[in-house]
Amino acid sequence: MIRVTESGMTFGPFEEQDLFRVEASPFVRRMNGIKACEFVYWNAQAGRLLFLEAKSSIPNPRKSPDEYRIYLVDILEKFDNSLQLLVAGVLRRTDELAGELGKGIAQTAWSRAAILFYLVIPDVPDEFLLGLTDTLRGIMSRQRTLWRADIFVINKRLARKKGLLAAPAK
Amino acid sequence: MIEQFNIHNSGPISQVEGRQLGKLNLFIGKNGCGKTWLLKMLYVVMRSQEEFGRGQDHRDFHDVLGDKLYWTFQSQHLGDLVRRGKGNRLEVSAGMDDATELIFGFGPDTNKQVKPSHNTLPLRQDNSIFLPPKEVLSLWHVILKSAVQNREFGYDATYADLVLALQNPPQAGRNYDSFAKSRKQLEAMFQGRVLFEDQQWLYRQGNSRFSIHSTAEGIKKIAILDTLLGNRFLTPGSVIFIDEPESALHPTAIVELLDILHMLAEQGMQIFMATHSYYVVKKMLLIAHRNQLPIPCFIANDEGIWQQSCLMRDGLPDNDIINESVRLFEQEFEGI
Repeated sequence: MIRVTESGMTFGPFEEQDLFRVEASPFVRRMNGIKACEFVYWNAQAGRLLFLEAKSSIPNPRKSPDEYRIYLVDILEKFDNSLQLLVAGVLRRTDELAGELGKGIAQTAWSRAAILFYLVIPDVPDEFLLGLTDTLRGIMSRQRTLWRADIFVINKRLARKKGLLAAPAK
Repeated sequence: MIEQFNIHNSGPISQVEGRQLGKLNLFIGKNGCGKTWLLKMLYVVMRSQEEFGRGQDHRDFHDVLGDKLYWTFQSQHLGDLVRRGKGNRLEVSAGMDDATELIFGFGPDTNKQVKPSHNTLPLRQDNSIFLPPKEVLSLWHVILKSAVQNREFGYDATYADLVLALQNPPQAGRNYDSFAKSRKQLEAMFQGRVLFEDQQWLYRQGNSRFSIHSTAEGIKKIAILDTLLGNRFLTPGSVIFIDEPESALHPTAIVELLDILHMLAEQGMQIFMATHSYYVVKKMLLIAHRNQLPIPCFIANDEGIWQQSCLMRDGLPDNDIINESVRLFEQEFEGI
């Protein structure tokens, strides 16, 4: 079982064979500068393919509008690249990438999988989540339509509620 | 401008105390918590001051106040306005920015006479207005006949006063700068203007004229404010009470309207709004932050006790408008 610690949160535990740690992938690291999300997790039982990116904060759109725009485009790139990397690996376009995929995630049921992109920002107040989600959905409209994917911006509370966060150490 | 008020045991309101009121003020809360009631009570205070001693009206102040309460709340016995409860007595006090004050109260046995226990309010030339959620342009003659000619209950004084105010003819000459700017923006929102011609309201767009009955509800609503600015019924000293500014308006129009109201508030008008709208609440929060404007926000609990906070300093109070949007988001998230 694997736990992934990012932006002050520990996700998991996940079965190793169901997890693709995109950002930490040796293949991705060798591709200088390619942006990727933290991990992709295939939950075969629920039929969910989850792309997750964790960020400790988000720029204030009023005080730093340019930073905010760049931040969102960055998230889009990370998710889009990660989707392409996973597909390239599953389809064995690159042996090295295919070799990094565990048995579970390599057998993702693409036709029926619910494809989900989660941006987790631990301390965003609940009342801002809907607006941020709508904004990111607008930016990722191509991915939503092509892949029939859905996108959510959530905080630590909702991530925990969804069972994505490891129980705090006792 | 109203600077502070206290209202106790009035209809659904058990207790509300407003301090350091702003040019923009917000009332939020569930249906039936008394938002409209509160707006109306403050309207009664303002209009009583404004109608007293005007022209050849020789009524005493207490008669003006009693009449205004009677026709605004449309209750056969004013005592019915007292909140139910043993020994309860309705108490209202309102203090203005010139340190003048009105205090009155009555018990459940009161029929029509209300004598203020304290009144230092001076005569007032400015006009205040109450904008109800529904437009009045298409029903103006029905409202006039029912409320003014036949003196029947149905359309209360807020409607009748508005219909009469709208019939003031447009004034030529230079308007206040920000009023002129506001009117331009209002007219850009509905791409036209409304006119009162030959005893009927018309909507004019370019050279075309349309019956007011075939004009969109939102357009009529915006047109009402435009008309009151154009005929100079409203002046920088006016107080505007707006019940549900969001009704019949697209979210974009709501946001634009609030920008215009903020502009009018900067010119001097005082505005009280009661709302259920996520957009109104969010936009008011933005206006408060962007302009470093302390906007008082009032919210009622289930016992009819209201709390005041400041949007700029305290952010939004815990409220069902935002909470419901969070709940819906969570339901959507949970459903995946």
